[in-house]
Amino acid sequence: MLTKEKIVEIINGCGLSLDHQETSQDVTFKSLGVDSLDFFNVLEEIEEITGKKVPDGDVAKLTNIKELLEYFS
Amino acid sequence: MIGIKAIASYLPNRVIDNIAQAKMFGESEEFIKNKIGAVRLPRKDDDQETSDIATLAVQALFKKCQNLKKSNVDAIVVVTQNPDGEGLPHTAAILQDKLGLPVTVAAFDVSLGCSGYVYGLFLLKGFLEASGLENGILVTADPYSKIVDSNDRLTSLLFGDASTATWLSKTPVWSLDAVLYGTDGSGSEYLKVDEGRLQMNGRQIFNFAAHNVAPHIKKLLESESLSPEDIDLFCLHQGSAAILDAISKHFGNLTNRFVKEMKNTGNTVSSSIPLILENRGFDGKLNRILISGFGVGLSMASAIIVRNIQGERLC
Repeated sequence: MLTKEKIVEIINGCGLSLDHQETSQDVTFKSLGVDSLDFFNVLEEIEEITGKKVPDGDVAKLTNIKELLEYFS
Repeated sequence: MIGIKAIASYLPNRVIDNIAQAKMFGESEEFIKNKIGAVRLPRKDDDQETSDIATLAVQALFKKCQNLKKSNVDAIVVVTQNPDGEGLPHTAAILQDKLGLPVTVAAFDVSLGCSGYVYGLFLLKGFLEASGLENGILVTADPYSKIVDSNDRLTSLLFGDASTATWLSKTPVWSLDAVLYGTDGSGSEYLKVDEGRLQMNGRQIFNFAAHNVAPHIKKLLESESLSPEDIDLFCLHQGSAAILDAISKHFGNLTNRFVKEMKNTGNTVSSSIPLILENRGFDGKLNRILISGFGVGLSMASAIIVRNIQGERLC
């Protein structure tokens, strides 16, 4: 199951240093320092873990960790 | 045994400051340096045709290799999807004339993008060997400035113009070894020209490369009973810094063997691999290089090239 901790771990794999306890689920990825290419990376990894593909039309709806968790729940 | 004898290139002097360009799109200098990887993008002059930049690369090859005579060129192949005019006639024929090559030369274009150099090497090698010919020149010249919309953030930050010329001969410095191809046309819509304008689905192109290239390379290595450690240099198509990072992370502590060399060129499509080989492949330090091109199609080609010490002495 996808967790907030796992998402933060994947984001940090892009070269960021977020603390999963201090990182708010509601803050936008952009505000966390996740740029568009980082986000491609994050989604690609989550798709691989969950086996669920995100259609291009849904990507713009996923702006923070909370929305990601809900989408993949 | 036909292989790579020498490589030369042409980079236009006119350049776009990519950091300044990025600011117009609201992107940071850090994003350009770390994710795109190119701070300068060469641009051909507006009145330069594809055959013009191809001519300059081949002329550089003749200048570099005094023992390559025009009269000895048996075949010339141009890898491009942005040919002269509207593609008819083929650019290779125009190039034959501009270079003053013999009328006996075989000349044709190959319509491939970022995988085109790897395909082109094996295609020309096979063509020369099947025809009993000795010397061929593989040209890459695919100026995306012809089709990039300068208002499109996705593509205008990525692509640079360049051309290269690779001499294939019977006394190569680099022998062509194993090769592996791949095509997934279901993704052909993700990178295409529509009404003269390049359109790219950045996420899908990124996913294609991030998901498929590393397994493709590993499959090729396994087929040759090689491990990644046996490769001195991984010379991949320079799509973007982020794509290269996404691929190289699958190779553990060998990431430093993956070339990231696009700072002054950007993504030059089929020219990116030969540009690197020209810079790194002829100082005698490397014995086995893996080359891999991937992109429009969606298409992939990976190959192993092996140093031929005898060929170096004859160059």
